[in-house]
Amino acid sequence: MKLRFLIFESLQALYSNLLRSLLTIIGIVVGIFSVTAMLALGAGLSQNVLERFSSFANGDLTVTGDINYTDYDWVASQPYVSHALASMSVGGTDVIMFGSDFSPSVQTVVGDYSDLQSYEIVSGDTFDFNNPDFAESVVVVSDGFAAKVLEDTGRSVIDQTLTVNNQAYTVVGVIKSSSNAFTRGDGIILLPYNSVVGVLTNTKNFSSVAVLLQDSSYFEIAGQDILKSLNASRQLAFDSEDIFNIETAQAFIETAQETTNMISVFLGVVGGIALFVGGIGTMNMMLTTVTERTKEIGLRKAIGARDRDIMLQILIESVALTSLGGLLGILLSLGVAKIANSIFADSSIITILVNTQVIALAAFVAVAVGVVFGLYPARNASRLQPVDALRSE
Amino acid sequence: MTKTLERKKVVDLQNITKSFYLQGGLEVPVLHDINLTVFAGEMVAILGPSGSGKSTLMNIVGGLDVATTGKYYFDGKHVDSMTSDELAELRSTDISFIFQSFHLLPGKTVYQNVMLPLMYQRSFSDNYDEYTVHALNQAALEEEHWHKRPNQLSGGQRQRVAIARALVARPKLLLADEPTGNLDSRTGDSIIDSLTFLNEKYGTTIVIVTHDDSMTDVVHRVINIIDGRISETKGNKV
Repeated sequence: MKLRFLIFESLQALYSNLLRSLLTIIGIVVGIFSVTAMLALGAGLSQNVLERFSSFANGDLTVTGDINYTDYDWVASQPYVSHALASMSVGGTDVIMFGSDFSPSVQTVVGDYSDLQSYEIVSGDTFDFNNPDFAESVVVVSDGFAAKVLEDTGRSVIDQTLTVNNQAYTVVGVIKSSSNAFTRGDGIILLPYNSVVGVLTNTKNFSSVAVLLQDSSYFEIAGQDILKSLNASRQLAFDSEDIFNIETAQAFIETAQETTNMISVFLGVVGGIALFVGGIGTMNMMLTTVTERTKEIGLRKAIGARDRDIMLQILIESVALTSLGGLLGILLSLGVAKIANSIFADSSIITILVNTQVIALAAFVAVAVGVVFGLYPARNASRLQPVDALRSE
Repeated sequence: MTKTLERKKVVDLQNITKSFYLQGGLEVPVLHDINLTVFAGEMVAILGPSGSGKSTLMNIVGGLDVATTGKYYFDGKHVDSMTSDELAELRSTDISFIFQSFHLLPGKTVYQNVMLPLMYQRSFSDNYDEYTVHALNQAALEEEHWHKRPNQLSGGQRQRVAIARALVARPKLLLADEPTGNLDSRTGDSIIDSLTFLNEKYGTTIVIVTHDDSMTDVVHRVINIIDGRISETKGNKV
């Protein structure tokens, strides 16, 4: 039988048993919806986590440990280093502005802040982050901190004074960092190195140096060289991690990727189980249909249908069922994704990402389920002997 | 008799036997040493009581079943050595069936039921509608019924649909298994009239399998079958 006739025959057979066809489709709709939703949830999660890690891990690698200014200076002067930024967080601080307490992250940085933390100046100006000798009592705050102060006190921070552990600093600028790394609480305030050391903290050493390389692909070799040299300056073994550690953005991203991939696989398996149940439902319907239509199959053979005509017709019916179910499942997941994304618009983690890959995979799976679960009933139907089939009751 | 031998043989059965095997290997012979020839343009009745083996004989002649031993030639072609696909092709182009219980597909209209055999002909390249309309007219089914479903028709009308479906592929042999079995006598007579008309006007070769003695008056030849053996052949009107 010509393919167009086979398709017509299959669709007509499904239509003549509309209610049962629709009930069978529901199983596939739920299955494909589950797979699509789970994959989309996994893809969204993966994208969000990667974005966060990418923005968190500034530069190509980060040296952590007890790093003094000489160490930083040495790192920054290496020929393979493009930019470096040393930073130190000041803990146990009490920040007061306009009589209200705030809890920002208090940091001091030295180096190429603008290159490693791309930011835009919202108002005022910054002090020279590259000058370690700059010692005026000024402070640059993040827009998050400024917004919090405005919210709590109703006042603008620019050119106003805040105190950190009773030391007064004048706010000279507000910056908005493009990095949305894990900044919680009341934003960030940045103080000049020399107005912090010996004033707010006794330690002179930085906790980390973020490094941007001339060529990012050499992050591993560069990391090893820095670790070896810094260890040598402390008479430590070249690969010791007693004082210094090298963390790379790539390593962060790879770890994040592995984690989200595992979550995606898990979610995919959950969806796959739902789809398997739907597939079994399809097979059950096709087996029932073959049994019920034994006489019809006998008649078709009596008037000239070959085994492969019958097999193809049943297979096409099965694939048509699962494809339609798949289409409805994909449409349903697109709708649910739209609603869920608008509900969770404020959430930075939950995003349902129904992308082309997810849709293509779901469509492929829907067709494959039709073929796999339709094959056995189709084979059974094609093997019926016409004389036995016509005689059946 | 000489005249008969010169005519073209459509069906030629030689020493055909058919046995069924029950579980445990028990053999149940159904047909014994059947020799039967049907010539082109003949209208033949195979008459026999229930269980005589006439339906089994019809299944073998129709290529729906194969003989246990013996040789079967259809239009000169050796049927016993045909593959499943070749048998399907034979049924698609050369042999058609009319069944007692019509066997119409309920989800299709009359028109679609009649067209169905053409759709299974891979080599068919003529006009589907032309053949379908022609067959419906041959079966004398009024046009007002063509787009109805089988369950909207009377028994006689359904059998006419089955006749149209059997004719649409313009076969060399039309096999009718108890074609009036499910009909009242008046409707049954009109169906027999239609088959006679087809045989006389178009020269369609027809084999009717029946237990109804009244059929003997309208056919050229009656072949009696009892207990799987041809017992008597009557008539030679052609």
